[in-house]
Amino acid sequence: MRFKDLSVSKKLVGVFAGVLAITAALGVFAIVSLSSLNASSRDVRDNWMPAISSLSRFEYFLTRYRVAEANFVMSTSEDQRATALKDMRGYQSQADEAWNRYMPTADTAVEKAKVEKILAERADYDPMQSKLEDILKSQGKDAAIAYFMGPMKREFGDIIAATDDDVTYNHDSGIASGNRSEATYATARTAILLALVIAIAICIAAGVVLVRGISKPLGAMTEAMGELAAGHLDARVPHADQQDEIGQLAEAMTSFKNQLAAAEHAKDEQTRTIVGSIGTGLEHLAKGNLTHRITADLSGAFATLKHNFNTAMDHLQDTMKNVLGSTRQIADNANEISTAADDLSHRTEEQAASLEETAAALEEITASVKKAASNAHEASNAVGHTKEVAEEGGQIVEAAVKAMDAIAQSSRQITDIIGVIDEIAFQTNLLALNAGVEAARAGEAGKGFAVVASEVRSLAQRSSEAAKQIKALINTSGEHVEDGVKLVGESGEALKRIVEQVAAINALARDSAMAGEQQSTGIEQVNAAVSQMDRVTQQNAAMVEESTAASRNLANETVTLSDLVGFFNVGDTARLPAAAKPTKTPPPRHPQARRAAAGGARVATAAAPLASEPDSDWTEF
Amino acid sequence: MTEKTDSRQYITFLANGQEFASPIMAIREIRGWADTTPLPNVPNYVRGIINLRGTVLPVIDLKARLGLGRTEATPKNVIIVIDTEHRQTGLLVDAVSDIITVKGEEIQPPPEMMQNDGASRYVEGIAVRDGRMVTLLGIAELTQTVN
Repeated sequence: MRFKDLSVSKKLVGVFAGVLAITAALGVFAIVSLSSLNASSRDVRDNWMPAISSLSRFEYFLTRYRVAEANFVMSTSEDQRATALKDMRGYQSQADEAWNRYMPTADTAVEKAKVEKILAERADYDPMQSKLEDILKSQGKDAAIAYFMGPMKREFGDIIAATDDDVTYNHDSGIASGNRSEATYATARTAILLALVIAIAICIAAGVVLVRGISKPLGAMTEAMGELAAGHLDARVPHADQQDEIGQLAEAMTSFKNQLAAAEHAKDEQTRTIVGSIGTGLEHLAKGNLTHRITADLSGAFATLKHNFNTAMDHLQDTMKNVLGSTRQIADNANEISTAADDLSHRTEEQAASLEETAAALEEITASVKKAASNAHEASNAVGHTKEVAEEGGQIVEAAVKAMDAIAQSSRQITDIIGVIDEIAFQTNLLALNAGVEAARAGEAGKGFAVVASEVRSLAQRSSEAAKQIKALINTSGEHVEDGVKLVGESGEALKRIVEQVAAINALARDSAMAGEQQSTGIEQVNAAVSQMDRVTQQNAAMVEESTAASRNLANETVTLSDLVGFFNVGDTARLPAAAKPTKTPPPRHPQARRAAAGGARVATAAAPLASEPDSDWTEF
Repeated sequence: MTEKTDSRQYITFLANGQEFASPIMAIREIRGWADTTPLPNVPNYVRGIINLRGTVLPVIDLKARLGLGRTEATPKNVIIVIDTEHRQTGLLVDAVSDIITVKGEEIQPPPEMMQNDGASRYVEGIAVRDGRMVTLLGIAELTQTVN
């Protein structure tokens, strides 16, 4: 019986039982050690310590008794003696009581021997009290003191010594008991630690064994199951030789695997049969034989497949019959389209040519309008220049008016100066007259002086005359200047009017130039539109040619299509419309160079109406 | 006067466009027009008084004195200061023309028709010079009425 053949529950129980046994042994050992420790400590508490206490008390009261005895001996009166005796009896009874409490604790042989000795010493001492009383009565106080301090003291010392010996013994025994418990503790600690280490080691070992015995095989089984699920039917099932639950699981898996393999094989067989019959049907279909049907006996879903295949073949056969008929119709129509497209192409080329002429004429108009606009612009510029010149003339006239004003101002100043000169001449004349008067009064003596005065007077008069003449001249000149100013002002006004007129002309010329430019722009737009139309028409022509070619190709392709569809054997074809033999399409017209034909195209259209198709009125336009 | 038959010097002057003359010896000086201080209660020909270097003298408007209307005085007008035996008098005229010498035979008496006219008292005679008629004024009579 191997470990791995044990069942999983037994494995678990065995391992946990081992761990439990180790734990229990450890517990029992610990309890025993603790009991030993407890016994030692109780021995110390219940035996040794009460013994020491009681013995000490006994010794104390004995000592007090001895002191009371001394008081008795040393007392001077009967009263004192009686008191001392009473004390002695009290102490003695207390000492006896302490002794009696001690007695039960003396249980060892050694201690009992010491007790015997203490009792013997006490028995020796007790009679000496009555002897002391006798000596006191008979021989007096001194003799009693001598007895008390002599033999009595020696006996008392023996009691104390025996008692001390016993106390020492109890004390030593207590310490020994304590030492013993300490030793017990050390031993127990070491043993428990050792047992713990062993238990931990055994637990780890049990864990390892469990992991190896249960978890690993389970992991391997899971892996094998995963492979089976993925479809690897040849996957090896591990642990099949084991006798435990894992072994049983492996066995079940192996049988499951075998069943899967058998199912796979059966499926293959059936597939071969289906593929055979369907394959034959498809082979016929590939050869274009649409009359074949599947007759093999198929079951289940494959019976539906067979039915669907046969239905599809029926539909396909019907459809192909219809396709053949339609193809023949298409061939006829394609021939008609081709002819119509040829005509359309021809007329589109003519349209393109006439549009091109229109474009050329428009370009000439554009050029002349542009020229007119440019001339108007130049006229506007020239008039603007004229306006500037006229404005300059106006400024010059203003300057002239100013100059004239300055001249008039100067004339006025000259007139003032002339006035002064005239005044001086007048005064000089008066002075000369006075001189003449004085000379006349002087009589003969003043004659020479009178001549001088006369000359002075004539000079003054000439001065006055000259001043008057200058004044007249200046006045005349002033008038002339005034006239000049007026005339210059008028010419300035005239220039201003000229400037205004010129401005008006300028505005008109500018408007004219602008209108010309707008016309030019408008004509350019028209031109662009015509060019666009021309281009579009030419594109149309090209496209019509392409569609002509395409329709011819369509006719040809339709023939090919008929041939191709004829590949299918659809059985009875008698009820189909007779396949129109595709007429040989007319040779494509030589594509005329559109530009070369531009002029003559219209004439050609008029001269050669398409009489070949009298039923198509729409070709006339 | 011995020279009466010979010749005398005159100063000629204009008033109201007419040429008058006065003996030069009766004339103290000639000066330009200055504004006069009018006097109350005097004939209309007395223009007022002026201060000539400390001497106050009346000014007579010749034109007005001759009954020809009042002179519109301007700086171009002239005052002739006449020195008679009694006193000095200013005579306002339009302008002084010349100093002339007139011979006795050139002087003609005033026309008869003027004899009764008050104004003729001032005219001593009429002299013809270069075809121009110059009225010789009697200054003393002319100025006497002022007093």
